[in-house]
Amino acid sequence: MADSPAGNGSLSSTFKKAHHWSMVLMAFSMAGSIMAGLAIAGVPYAGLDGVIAYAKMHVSGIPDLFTYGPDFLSTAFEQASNGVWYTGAAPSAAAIHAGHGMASVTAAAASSELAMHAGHTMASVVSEPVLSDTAKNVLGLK
Amino acid sequence: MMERREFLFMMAAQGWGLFSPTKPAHLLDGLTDISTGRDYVRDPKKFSLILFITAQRSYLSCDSALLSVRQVMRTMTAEKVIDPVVVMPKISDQASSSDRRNLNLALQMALPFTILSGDLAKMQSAAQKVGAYFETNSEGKVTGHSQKMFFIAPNGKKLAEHDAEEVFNFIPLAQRLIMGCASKRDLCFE
Repeated sequence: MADSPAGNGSLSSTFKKAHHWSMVLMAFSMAGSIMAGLAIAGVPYAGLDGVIAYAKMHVSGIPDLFTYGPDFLSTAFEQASNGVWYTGAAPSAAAIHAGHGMASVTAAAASSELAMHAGHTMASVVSEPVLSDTAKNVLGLK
Repeated sequence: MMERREFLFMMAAQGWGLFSPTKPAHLLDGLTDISTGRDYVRDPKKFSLILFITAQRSYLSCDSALLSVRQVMRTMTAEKVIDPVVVMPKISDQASSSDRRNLNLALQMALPFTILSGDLAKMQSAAQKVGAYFETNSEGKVTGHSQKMFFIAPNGKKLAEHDAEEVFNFIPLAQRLIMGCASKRDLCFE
């Protein structure tokens, strides 16, 4: 059987493959854009319910992200529209971390971005055990 | 033959020995094991890893606490030395009597939790002995609880407490405490 001009390896075949994958990419992109648009606009979309419910149950912090994320992002985009990306959006970080058990983030610390991040070290996130006097004696710490 | 005075003196001495403040009762004594319906019988060689928790899901993190205890037990393969204990007020003593999610989760876990219950006063008393608590509303119904786990020596003395949601630092500490107690038995064992 003779090879057709559009057979494997031809320019036409390569173009068709590229076109096919560009269509696939575009389809995913459009679907994602639509879902993101619906989510941002607050339009109820049943397709996201399961995903969001699962994420809320299994990923700690996601509920807070949904609560504080829009404010944080809107602030960030407002800043960006003024030609400044993120700078000045820091005050909302205290609210973002509220309720996460980060006792080190105090109102005073929140007054400065530097002080606020000083309390976000791993030491304050990973809790330390509290030893009794008996335990200190057992471990030879007393 | 023993005289009456000697007999009374001996009885008084024994009585003092039994109720002496130098030998306080174990915090879990007198609680009811719900699997048997009888008083909890402790293994005098075992440490206790205790959660003071309600049958109702008082917080989102309640299931994390139960999973943390399971994680400790699995990581340490500690069934022979640690008894995972849940101290849980009666359902009739909690604010939401229909909510049994924590209890069901504890029962469904392959890990054999020892679930102890009893009168609310006993629960409160046991909790207070290690610095834990059960919160109650104006009607005296339990609405919340400590969100920590407590590591208790076989003699009932508290060794450590730790946030129940994560066990990152707790497991190596528990291992060190168990080894330390093996060499300083008088501090940990009866």
